Amino acid sequence: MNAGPDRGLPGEHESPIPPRARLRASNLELAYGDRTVVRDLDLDIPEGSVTAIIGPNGCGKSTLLRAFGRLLRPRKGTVLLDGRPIHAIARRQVAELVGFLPQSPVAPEGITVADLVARGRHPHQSWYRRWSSDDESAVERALRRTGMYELAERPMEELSGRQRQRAWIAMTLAQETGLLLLDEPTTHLDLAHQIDVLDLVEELHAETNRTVVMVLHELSLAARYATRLVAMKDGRVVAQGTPRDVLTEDMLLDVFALRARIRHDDETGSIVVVPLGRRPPRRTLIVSPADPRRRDSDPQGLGLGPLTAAAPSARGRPTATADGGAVGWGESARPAALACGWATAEQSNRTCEGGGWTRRQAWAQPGFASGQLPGRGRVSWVRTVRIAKTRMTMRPGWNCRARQAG
Amino acid sequence: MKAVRRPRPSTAASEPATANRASLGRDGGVGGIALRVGPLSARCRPRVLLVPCVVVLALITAFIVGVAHGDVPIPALDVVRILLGGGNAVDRMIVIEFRLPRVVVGAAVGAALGLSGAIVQGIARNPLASPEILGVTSGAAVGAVSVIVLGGSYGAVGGHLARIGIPSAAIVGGLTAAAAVYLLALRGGLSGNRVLLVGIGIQALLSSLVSWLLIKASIVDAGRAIVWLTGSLNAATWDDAVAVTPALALALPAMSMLSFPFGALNFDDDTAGALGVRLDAARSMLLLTAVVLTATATAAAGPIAFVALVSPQLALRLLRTATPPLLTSALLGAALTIWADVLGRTAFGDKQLPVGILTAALGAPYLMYLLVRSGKTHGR
Repeated sequence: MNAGPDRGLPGEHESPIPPRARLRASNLELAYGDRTVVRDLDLDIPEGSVTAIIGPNGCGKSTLLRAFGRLLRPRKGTVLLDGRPIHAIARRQVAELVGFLPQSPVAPEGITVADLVARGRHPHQSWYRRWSSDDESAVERALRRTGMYELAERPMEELSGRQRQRAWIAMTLAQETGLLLLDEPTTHLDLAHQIDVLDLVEELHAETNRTVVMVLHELSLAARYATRLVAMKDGRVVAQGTPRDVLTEDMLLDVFALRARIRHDDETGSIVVVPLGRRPPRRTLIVSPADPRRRDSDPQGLGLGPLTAAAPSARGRPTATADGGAVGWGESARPAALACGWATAEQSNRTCEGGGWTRRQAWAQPGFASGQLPGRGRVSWVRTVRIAKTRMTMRPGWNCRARQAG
Repeated sequence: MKAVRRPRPSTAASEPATANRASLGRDGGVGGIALRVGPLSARCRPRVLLVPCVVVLALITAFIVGVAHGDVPIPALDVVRILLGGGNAVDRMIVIEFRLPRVVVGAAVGAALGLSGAIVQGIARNPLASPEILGVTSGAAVGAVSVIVLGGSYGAVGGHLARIGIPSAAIVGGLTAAAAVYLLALRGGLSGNRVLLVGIGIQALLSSLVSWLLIKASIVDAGRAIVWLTGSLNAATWDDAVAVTPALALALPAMSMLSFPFGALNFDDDTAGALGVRLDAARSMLLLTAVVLTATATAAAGPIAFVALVSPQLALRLLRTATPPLLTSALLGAALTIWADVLGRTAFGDKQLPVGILTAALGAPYLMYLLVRSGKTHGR
């Protein structure tokens, strides 16, 4: 193998086609001591895919990855590697098929990059055969592929975070496995360096069709670089599929309790997650008379008039009262004959803002009051507000429903 | 091992070998020399080959000086001649019967301690760890001191009880304590820190037991016990050498196999496991070797201070490797112990200091010097 120019064209340093591996978890239950982290998990990692596992902290992503790397024995169920239970395969043999990079790997103090990468050859060596020419060329290939060749003799301590991460990836590359498990390969890196590392992963995948499974926290990056996303919550797979299918606003709210907007960038074809943060969700309040015959009643006269006329300062700011939590709307905090009540203690924390009420035929809305009033629509007053921690109680004679705004 | 120096095959074959070697330093690359003989292969840097040779020289010098010095000085050349089978009868007897066992036991004990120190520091990933934390030393101390104190009154321990009883009790005590540490630390796999903490606990417990025995003992017994506890080669005989050297002879080939997983054990558990290392098996085997070595060494010469702690660190800094080098640590341990013994016997006039005092007095300043010096240049 000739020593080509550093980081040459893809394929130039291509390793011999590594053995194929494919993972399947079935009915998997993983636990640390008494604490069950993953339960009843079924998941397939197709050959040649780049799978990103996403999910909130503590949802079992890393634990699952450790089980895939044969580092954690399942309490129930199995992990199949190429159809064979992974724990029935010798650890050494697994290490020839599966490369694993932990989240914060610890290197021996003072180790040089070359030595670190050379350790990646461990599964291919034995106590008497510690440095074959295969080892040498694999290490050199890994160093060149990651652009670490010039830094090979430098101690790890002297490197930047990005270089260090590249050195670790070089170590797993030197292992020459068809399957790479990367636990948060971008932690502690700035955005440009995260892209740098993920570009490298993508290239590795493109060159040799390696199967990659990685845990990622950056959702937009996960969508950009993975061919498949797996969303986990509380030790279970909630959604899996293409990034476009998995990365939805509903999923984010469900899995991360994160309100976010999903934007599709036409120019790059990538999906962008725009988090909305802690501002409360907008909801639509629908207020309607409980008695259908009172359909003509107008909340205007009951203190729920359109707020267009209200003073800007008062608009949308609810006024909490101490007596059972009634709230008035509008500039004068009119007696809340009809408005929402707030029944919990932390009234001062609440915000409620939005536009004026609009009249709407409630029956026109699916799922609302249908059948209650055959033939005749019920008049409701609808407006969209931001509410945190809603618990609505209505004055007698009126109903109020909150509905998540779309 | 006969080794063949080969230029890196990755560089073009037409280039002369020297050019390849010279280019290593400049453009980085997979440094070191590849040694390949038939199925055997290894990689190392020139330093890793050179330093042990220098240490071996120091060891041989120490050996000769150690044999030459004494009440009847024997010239170094005569010593060499006697060791090669010549010399006059009187000198021969002095050397073979009196001086040689002492030096051989010193070398074997030092090598055993240096080796087990390197193992323990590597497994604990902690430069402050030493085989003492495995409970071996304090267990051996309890065994030996109880024989000295309880075996007979007013220094009456002698004869077979002293010759065989004390070392045997030391070995039994050391192995028992180590087994206790192992069993207590085993829960849910052997983790480095757990071994360390349990070991420190057991060690504290046994130390207080030794203190209690010393307080209970008569002055004469306590004095003998203190001498034993300091570590001394004074009473070293061929019997001791016969006890220690087989352990070492068994450990060295085991080491050449175990040093393979040993290198990978320096990573965190997940990384090492992902590289295919059977963590618990490798750790258990290595720790067992360290325990046996320390127990036999302690039984032969008492707990000689600091050799196990300092030799691996010295070796690490001399070789500039990331993991404590096993062979160099053993060689350094042997050289350090003999030099300390020679100094203790000769440098203080009539007073003969036990080797344990000198190893600490020699090793500690040198380690500090290395720490200060490397702190300036490398920030390590």
